[in-house]
Amino acid sequence: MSRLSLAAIAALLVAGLAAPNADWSVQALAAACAVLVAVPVVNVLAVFAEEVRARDWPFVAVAGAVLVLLAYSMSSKLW
Amino acid sequence: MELTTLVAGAVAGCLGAMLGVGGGVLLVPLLHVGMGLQFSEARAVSLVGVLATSCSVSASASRRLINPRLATVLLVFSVSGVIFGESVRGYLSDATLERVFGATAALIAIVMLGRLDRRNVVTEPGFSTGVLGGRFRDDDTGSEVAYRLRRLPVAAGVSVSAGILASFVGVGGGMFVVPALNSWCGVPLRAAAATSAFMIGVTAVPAVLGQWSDGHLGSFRLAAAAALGVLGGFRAGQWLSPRARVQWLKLLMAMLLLGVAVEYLLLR
Repeated sequence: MSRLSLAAIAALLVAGLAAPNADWSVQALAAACAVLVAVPVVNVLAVFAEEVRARDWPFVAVAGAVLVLLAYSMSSKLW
Repeated sequence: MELTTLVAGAVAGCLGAMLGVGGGVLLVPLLHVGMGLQFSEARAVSLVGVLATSCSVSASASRRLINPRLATVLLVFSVSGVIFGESVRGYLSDATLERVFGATAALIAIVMLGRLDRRNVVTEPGFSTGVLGGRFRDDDTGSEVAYRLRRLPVAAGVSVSAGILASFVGVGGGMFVVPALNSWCGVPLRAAAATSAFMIGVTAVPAVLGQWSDGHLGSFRLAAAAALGVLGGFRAGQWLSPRARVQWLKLLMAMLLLGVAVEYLLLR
């Protein structure tokens, strides 16, 4: 995750908090929270991709298991 | 209330940068006891702060200290813990959970205070780190150091517990994972903190979604204030961290844990 992404999250948070009466305020804050949720998942995906690239299959399986668990928990909460 | 939450988030972010804890251990009591929020709301806001801490680590220089393989192995256990916690959370009273939380915090604080002088690093060039160990440049000594993971079952057990606690009380679990990795599993404090910060973000994802689907995040304003505070506080903590000795960081963490234990075991 780059510092640019972090700055984008901070900008969304500041914009949403600074304009509480604007129509887009809640959407901006929700978007920032959504990105915050997405970043750790992307981090695990990056580890998974790195292990696939290294052809280290036991750790591919471990990272894959984490992704499956995350997918299960997300699907059970969102749908 | 948003300004207070922002300041609380900044303090939590500062501690997160220095100790590898998500700050939930501080945010939950501040929001719950200090600001009068319902425990469920404080828990939800705290978890968003934990996510912000983890994102900050991902974008910081500390990411070189993350041991991704160790983190991924332990995430299997911590995420399983969250899923279990989310399934049984509704059956337990908050009072019971708070006492368990306080007792665990006290236990870990005592263990850390008893091991203030212990170092887990080896500076021999040929030292074998094993599959889950690692190497990094230690800012304290200025040399490259290596470590080997010991007692994986202990780390796995603590990770499951941390996941369950993330669901129950809204902390990322760094306050349990960092001391356990450092004191019992041979991982140096800074590497344990960075690896834990990576883990707590992933562990918090199912817990945050659970809180959101239960309606505890409201209009996101308090969560956003906490996250913004954490992002700023983390930068301050990054500046302070290289200037602090590991021994002092351990002492600070132990004091923090004792404070939490007193609050939840004696004052409530």
